[in-house]
Amino acid sequence: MAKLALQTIEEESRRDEGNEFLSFSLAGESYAVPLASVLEIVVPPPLTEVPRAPKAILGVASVRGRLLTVVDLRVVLGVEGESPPNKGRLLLGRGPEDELMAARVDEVDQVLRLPDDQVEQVALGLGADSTEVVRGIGRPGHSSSIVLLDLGAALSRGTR
Amino acid sequence: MQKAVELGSLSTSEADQLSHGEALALMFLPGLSTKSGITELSGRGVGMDVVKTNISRIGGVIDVHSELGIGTKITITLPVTLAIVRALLVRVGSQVFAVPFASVAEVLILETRPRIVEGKEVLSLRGTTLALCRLSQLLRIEGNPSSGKKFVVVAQVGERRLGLVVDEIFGQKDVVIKALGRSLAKVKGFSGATEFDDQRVGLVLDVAAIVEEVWSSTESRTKALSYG
Repeated sequence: MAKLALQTIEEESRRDEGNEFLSFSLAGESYAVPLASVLEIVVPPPLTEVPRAPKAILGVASVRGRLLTVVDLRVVLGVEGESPPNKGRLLLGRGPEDELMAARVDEVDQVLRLPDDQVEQVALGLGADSTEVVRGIGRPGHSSSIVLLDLGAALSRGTR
Repeated sequence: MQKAVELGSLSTSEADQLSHGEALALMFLPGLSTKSGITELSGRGVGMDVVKTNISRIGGVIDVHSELGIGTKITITLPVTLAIVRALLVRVGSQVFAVPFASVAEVLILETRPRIVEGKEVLSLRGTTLALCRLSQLLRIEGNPSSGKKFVVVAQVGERRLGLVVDEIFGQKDVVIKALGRSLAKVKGFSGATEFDDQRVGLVLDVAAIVEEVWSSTESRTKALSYG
């Protein structure tokens, strides 16, 4: 009986995880990625530019001795506008070939729980490009809207 | 020890037979903590397990000596096989790069104006001609080109020599080279990066690749000229 209860709790938490998103802001807009895809949030260490790297790559930084490629999500998403300097956070996630990478965002906001009926799938045809990075539109409380991204796909796109 | 029995990693009879050293080694068990409660920092039984795992991963050994009422000594032995390389630290624009000593023949102050031969800057060095490459141009680094005095790092790769023009020389340093992520594999000219004392990262120049790049571009241009 106790075992069964435990199983139910586990299942429930797993189901919740699928609907949990971490929201953040980027050039004044709100975005979110699945919480499970964010391995860590860190204050950006000093960044070193890599000459001749793709435009979306801000550079490399050392996070506790590990060398990470840092991707600028604004460039990946083609968002205009300035990011506040000396601010921001890095979201650590898995990029192509499972490489540990970082995505720079302006500000981490909160963890959102979005039931399935508050997530809209993006219609195909919004541009083949955007469909792989944009997973859908979230409507927390059916009011405001927030763009849901695939962190891994965004990191991959940044390296191209 | 009691905790280890509770965790199930040890039976009661095994616990009775543990030597002092074996008992100390229990601290590296994942999930084992001597604390009964969890605080913000400790109590989860993660810390020492992580230390041991990471030290083992790079081929190191961790030893603990402890005596009740006296103290605890933790010895960490690491192999020297991490890629430590003696390098020359140079500045180009606002960026600091490490140039492995193995490919540096000598360093000069750029005093005379370089001559232009076939559209390339060259320098006469003790009777031989040395082609120059301005790293700021090759790597497209802008800004802060210094007060005017420039330096030439004479790089030697096999038979080929190339003068790398830099803005400043900071001296030499032993650096640990770490590989760049595969996401940067397409970016040529760097063999890795190293972390400086202030947590900044400096890129290590792949001198062989740079010499190759400059030479092949010269060759293709020479060809274009002769065909043109």
